Amino acid sequence: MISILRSSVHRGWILLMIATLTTYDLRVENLFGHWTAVATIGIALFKARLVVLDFMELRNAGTLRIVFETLLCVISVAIVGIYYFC
Amino acid sequence: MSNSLRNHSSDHQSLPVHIPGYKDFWVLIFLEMVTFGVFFVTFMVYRAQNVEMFNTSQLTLNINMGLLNTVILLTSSWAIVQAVESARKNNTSAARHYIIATILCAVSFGVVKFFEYSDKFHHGITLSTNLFYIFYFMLTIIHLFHVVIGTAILTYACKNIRQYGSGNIKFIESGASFWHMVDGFSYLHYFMF
Repeated sequence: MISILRSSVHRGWILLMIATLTTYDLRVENLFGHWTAVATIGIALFKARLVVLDFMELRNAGTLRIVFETLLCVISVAIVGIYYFC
Repeated sequence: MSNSLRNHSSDHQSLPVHIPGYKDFWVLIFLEMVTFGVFFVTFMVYRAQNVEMFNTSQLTLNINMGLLNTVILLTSSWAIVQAVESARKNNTSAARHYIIATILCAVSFGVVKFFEYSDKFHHGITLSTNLFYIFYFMLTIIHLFHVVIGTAILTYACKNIRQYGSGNIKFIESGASFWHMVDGFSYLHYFMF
C-alpha cells in the first residue's frame, strides 16, 4: 500500500477518485446549498490542475505550465461568475 | 515547512524545463481547450437567461452514468501514464498492455454513452426538445468525437509500439497529452450535465 502511494501517478489517481466521489455526493445531497456550484467548480479546477501538472507532465514546463493553469482559472472563474452574477 | 516538503519544493525548482511530446501538438491542445472553454461559457450565458428550464432539464439526466464515465476516463488516464512510463523504460510490451487498457476504457465510455443516449431517445428527448438538450447533445457528442480521435491515435501507437522505445517517445507522449485533455474536460462537463 505504501509503495503504491510513493508514485505521484497512483497518488494522483486516488486523489482524483476521492474528488470525483466528493463532487457526486455534493450534487446528490446538495450539501452547501447555494454554494454547491462554487464547491463543485473548485473541485473540478483542482482535478483539472492535477491532471495538467502530474498526468500531462507540465509541472516543469515553465511558461507552458503558466499558460495552461491561467486558462483553467479563467474558464472556472467565468463559469462561477456567470452562475452567480448573470 | 518540514524538511521533506522544503526538499520536494526545491527539487521542482531546480529541474530543467521539460515539455513532453511534440511542441506543435501543445498548440492544438491549447486551442482545443480554448474552444471547450468558449462552449462552456456560452452554455452558462444561455443558462442565465432561462435558469428554471435549464435546472429542470438537468434533473432528467442520469448522474450515475456521468459518475461511471468520469471514473472510466480517470482510470484510462492512469493507464496511459503507465504506458508512457513503460515506453520510456523501453518496456514496449507493458506499454502495449497499458495502451490496450486505455482503449478498452474508451470503448466502455462509448457503451455507457450509448445507453445514456438510448435512455433519452426512449423518453422522447432529442436535440430539438429544448435549448438545454441542444447544448447537452452538442457538447457530449463533441466530447465523444474527441474520445474517438484519441482512441484512433492510441490504436496507431499500439500497432506501431516497437518503434516507440525510450529514444522515440514523442508520439506516445503527445497522444497521452491529448487523451488527458479529453479526460480533463469531462470534469467540467460533469458540473453542467
